[in-house]
Amino acid sequence: MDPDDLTLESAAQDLAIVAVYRQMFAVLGSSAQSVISDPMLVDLADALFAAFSAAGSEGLTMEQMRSACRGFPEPVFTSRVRVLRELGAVQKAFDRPNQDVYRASFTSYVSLLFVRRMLTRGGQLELHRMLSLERLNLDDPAATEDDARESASRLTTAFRLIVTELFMLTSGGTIDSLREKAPLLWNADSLIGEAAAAHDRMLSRWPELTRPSTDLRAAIAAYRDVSTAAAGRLTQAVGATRALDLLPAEAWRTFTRRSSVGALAAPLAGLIFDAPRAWLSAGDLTEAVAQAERPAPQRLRPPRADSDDLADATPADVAPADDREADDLAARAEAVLAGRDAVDMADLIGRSGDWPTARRTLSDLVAAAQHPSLPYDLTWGDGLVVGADGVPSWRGQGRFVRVAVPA
Amino acid sequence: MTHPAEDLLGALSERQRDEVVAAWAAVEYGREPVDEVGFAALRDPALRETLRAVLRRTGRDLVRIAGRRWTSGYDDDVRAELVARGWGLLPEYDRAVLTTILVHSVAIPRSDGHLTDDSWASAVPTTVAELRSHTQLARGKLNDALQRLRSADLIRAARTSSEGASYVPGPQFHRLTPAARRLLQEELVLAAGPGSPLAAAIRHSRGGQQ
Repeated sequence: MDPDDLTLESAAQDLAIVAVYRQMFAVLGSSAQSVISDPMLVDLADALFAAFSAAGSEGLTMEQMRSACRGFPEPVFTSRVRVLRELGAVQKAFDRPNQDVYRASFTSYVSLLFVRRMLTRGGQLELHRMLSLERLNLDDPAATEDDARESASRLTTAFRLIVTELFMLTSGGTIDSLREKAPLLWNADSLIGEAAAAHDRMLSRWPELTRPSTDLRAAIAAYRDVSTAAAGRLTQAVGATRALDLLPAEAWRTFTRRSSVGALAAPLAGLIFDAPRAWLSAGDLTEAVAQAERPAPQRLRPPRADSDDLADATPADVAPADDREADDLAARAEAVLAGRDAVDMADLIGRSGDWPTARRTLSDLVAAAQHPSLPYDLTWGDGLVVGADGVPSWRGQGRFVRVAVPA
Repeated sequence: MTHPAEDLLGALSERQRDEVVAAWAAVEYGREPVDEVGFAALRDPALRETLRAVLRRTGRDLVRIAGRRWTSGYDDDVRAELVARGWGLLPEYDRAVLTTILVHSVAIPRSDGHLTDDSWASAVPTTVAELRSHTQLARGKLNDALQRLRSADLIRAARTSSEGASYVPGPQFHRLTPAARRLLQEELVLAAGPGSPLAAAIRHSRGGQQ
């Protein structure tokens, strides 16, 4: 530094800057020299600021501060207040020896808010704001080429840092750390859009700024690439449903609220599910399997009728009825055959016109073929005849045949 | 008529055939995935491959669920072909209702950190009130669609609360193969966050495959 600059005024200016810095980071100080190692200490600062805000211009005495922080252990409270006082986050309202009323520093509280936001949203929100501000700067009619150059340099630095961090996470980090940190860093399309807009604005107003704008463009493109790479590595690693939590809940809510039926239906368009049917419980199935393995108990034949009159009586009673049925079935079968020796079932059913008729014919022919004393046979082959307009729309291939009665 | 896998089963001893058929019936007709403890054909790797081959003959595949449970589902190639021909798809409106239930019961709880295991099962119910008031689904058709989805086991009624009936994804989602589950996840991400880096990565990897 030039010795000429070492005036009392410049020293005072430096001190003022350092004082603001100290206030800003007071909430994170564990002693005047180093940062905290326990998040509880920030919670204590939060409680303290809330109490100061409620107290208004009255300020708080040391006892009131202690009462506001009664949820925290006394030694912690004492050391925190000491640090906050040393760094200027809590100051005496009036600088007099016997005054015990304190007020809190606005700068410290704002920095606490900032710290909290960085915790939940990472640096992305800040980058958004920075972009909005830079955009305003560039649109300002009074802005000069130097302003634009500085603005581009700030944006380039921010993007390069975020790219490096994401790149290190993607290439060398564990999946857990990537999962935790990447969503705070990676690209939302809006961010790239804003950055590109700022870049375009700068280039159109100051076309001679080729170098800074090229740097900025490269940084934005690198950011897009590394974001995609990080997301790709995560989706590959996390499994078949876990990537869902990488989108914020709000994005999902917006999707279901605003989408049309068609857009909602689209994600399931590539999947096939089973048709409804009677599903069984696993317990029932296991039980069925367990029982099937046991040998079935031997069945005993029912005792034969040994009474003579019963044995004599039976055929006499049954025969006439049997004959009547046989005659009836033979008549129907002959009607169907109409003089031929065989008839094609698919053809026959197809010509019947409606299902009830076809059904009756079918049952007659089956009964005739099954009857032991009638000379008919019904055989079914493989395959189906399908006709969308036919009644019924599908028919089995079979033949109804009159067989030669053995002499 | 003979079963398409008759020749595969014919090559086995009687006992092995019984075991394969028992396991086949269990995975095909069981509502929930079955535990391999009860089925020798699921425990034994060689028989399991035979079972897989038997299922393949009818266009199905054996699907492993976390732990030692198994079920069956459409084979990936068969699914792709059925979809290409437009066979067996759910009606559009039913799909929209189902997507909404998946988002409310699975995606949102996941974003909030309430679900951690890698499956489409969820204990967070979606109420009918949510479906009615927070979507653009036509109201008159909603009950019929829910009824159809229920009978297909795609959704299951959760314990009804004071807010009326509510549903969670049904056991049919266990029948999705890993590739089908991944496809569903990707399609949901593409639909809900088309501008997100996840969607970019998905489009990028699909472009690389083609």
